[in-house]
Amino acid sequence: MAFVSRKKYCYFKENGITNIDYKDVKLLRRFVTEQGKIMPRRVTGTSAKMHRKLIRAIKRARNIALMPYTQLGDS
Amino acid sequence: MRYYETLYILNPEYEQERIDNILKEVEEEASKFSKVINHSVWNKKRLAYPVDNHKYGFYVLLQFESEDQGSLISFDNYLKLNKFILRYQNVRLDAQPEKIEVDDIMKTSKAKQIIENSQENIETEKTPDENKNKDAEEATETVEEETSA
Repeated sequence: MAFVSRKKYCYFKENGITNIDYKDVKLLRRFVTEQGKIMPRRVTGTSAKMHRKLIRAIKRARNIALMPYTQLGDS
Repeated sequence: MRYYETLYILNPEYEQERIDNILKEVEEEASKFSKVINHSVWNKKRLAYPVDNHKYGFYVLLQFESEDQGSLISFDNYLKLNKFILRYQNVRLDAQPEKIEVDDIMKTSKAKQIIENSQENIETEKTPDENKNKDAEEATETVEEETSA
């Protein structure tokens, strides 16, 4: 079995995004799990700098009820 | 000069007249110490979780510029004590926000886009199984796109 390694890229660097708006829920949704948890950097491949900004945006969106803090999965 | 943004949620059961009055009041309060740039209603939107037992809410976005940082605290208090406002959030902006024309707030592409996005999310929320698959597909697609690029 060949082990296929796939290079991860920072989504924001690839697309030239420097500022993350907490109101852009569609974008933020890509970086949370089904339960609403923030996905780790090792999974998404986001750069450290942008991950910090991403976390801030997600937490702001949660505070103003644009995104859930938690969400039930399959049940 | 610093730029700030307040996003607040109003009770969804209010009629249009009452909302207009509240908006006017808030704008007056904000213009005491700052210059209001944008003040627009997004629309009635489903909340990600219930706030004070409300499932829906009217989102209102207020953007303003100010130098007087002391007055921000009193504005914060005003929002906190305002019983019409379910929840609010003040954020400092890095750059000057674009001015949205008052006449066609709902027609502006950005506001429209945000609302559409949120509605899409609501639809997908209802079907968690499909959502899961979609997410997985999306993730793989993007990875492939990026590797080919």
